[in-house]
Amino acid sequence: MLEKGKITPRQTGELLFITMLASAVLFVPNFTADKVAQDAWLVLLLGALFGLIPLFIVYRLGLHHPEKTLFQYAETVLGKWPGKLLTLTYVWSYLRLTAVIIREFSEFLITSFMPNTPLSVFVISLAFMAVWAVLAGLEVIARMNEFIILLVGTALVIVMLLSLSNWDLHLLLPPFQANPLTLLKTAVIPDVWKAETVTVGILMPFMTRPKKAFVSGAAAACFAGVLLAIGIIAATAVFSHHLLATLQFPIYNFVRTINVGKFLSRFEVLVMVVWVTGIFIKTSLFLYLSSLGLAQAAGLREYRPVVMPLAVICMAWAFGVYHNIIELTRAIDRPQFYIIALSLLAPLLLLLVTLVREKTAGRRQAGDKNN
Amino acid sequence: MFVLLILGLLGIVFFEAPRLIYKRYWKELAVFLLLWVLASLIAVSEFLEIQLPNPLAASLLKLKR
Repeated sequence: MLEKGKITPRQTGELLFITMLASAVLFVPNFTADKVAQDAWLVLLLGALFGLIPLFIVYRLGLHHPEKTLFQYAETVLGKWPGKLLTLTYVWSYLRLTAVIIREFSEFLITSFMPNTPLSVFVISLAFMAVWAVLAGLEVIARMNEFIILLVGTALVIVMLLSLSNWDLHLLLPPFQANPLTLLKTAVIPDVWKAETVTVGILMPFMTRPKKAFVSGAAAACFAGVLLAIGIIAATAVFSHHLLATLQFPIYNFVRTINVGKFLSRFEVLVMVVWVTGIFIKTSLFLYLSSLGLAQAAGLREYRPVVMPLAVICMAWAFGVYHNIIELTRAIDRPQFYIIALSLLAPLLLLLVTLVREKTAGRRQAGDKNN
Repeated sequence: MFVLLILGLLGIVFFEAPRLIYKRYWKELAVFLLLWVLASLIAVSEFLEIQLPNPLAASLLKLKR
């Protein structure tokens, strides 16, 4: 086993929760409001429900292959080389996601807090921290997250409560006006729900009670979905969807409007806390997963040697992936088919092959007995 | 800045390789060095703004309808 640490089901759920929440909280409200107007909050609830489908598939797979990660049973199910190819595709997609997340993080900090600081400062410091966390192992990331999730949860609840006086719920009327098809199409877009649910398939063998994986993952998806939906309701109720669609970081701008009694103000720092800590955990987790995948595909005895080269690749990609923030927001507001393929179709294929193989193997065994 | 980049890349080797040699993990060392060369190529070409065939750019092109 490459990883000796064990995490509890609750820690797994918390890891999923933070990875779902962290990047969605800033970028999702913008394009959902653009596409479905005041029904944007519905998209996130639907998205959370969509997330349960790949989660269930990956969970069934994990039950069929206990003590193995997705990367390991891909090889036993599909054969050695196709399995390795699939694993490398996952590694590539996790690396790409990490690069995009690092860039999102840096762009947000530059655009809203430190416009004169060069991009490389944020990219390099985040990657350095992520490498440090990954070298420490999965258990450390999970335990760190237990503390961070308290910060994130309280920050979000405080922000919502304090903004209540600014809400104008009439801006949410009339509800359910969006075309159902557009609604479904938009709900598929946030890659929040997909890449993260597959993570369960890789974390399951490291859990103390793998049978609880589905419950904790589903709870994480639902909590994140509800919290994001409330956030978008709040942002819509303050700004109206017309304004929401034009803002770069709606939740951030929404928090800036909070001003209680002229002395409780400037709460955007809380959003920065959510964003920075959440993104740090997300980057570490994804870098960890890609290192683990590469190490398992190459048959290494430890994943440590590949961590730093992969982080360097991520950094270089983070610089080159988009030229500016406009390109970034344009790129993440449309469906990305390879992510859907990797998070839904590939696990589905693995599950089908597993089931068929178990059926035929079982019949052969029964036949042997009869003879 | 370029010197810093090269120093950083060499630093990774000095941080990781001696431990692997000491433990006689030759396979791990080979994979590490291969990956390190790849990462250095990507990083240096990014720094010097040389266009490598970029898998990210390819996936982005498909997104532009």
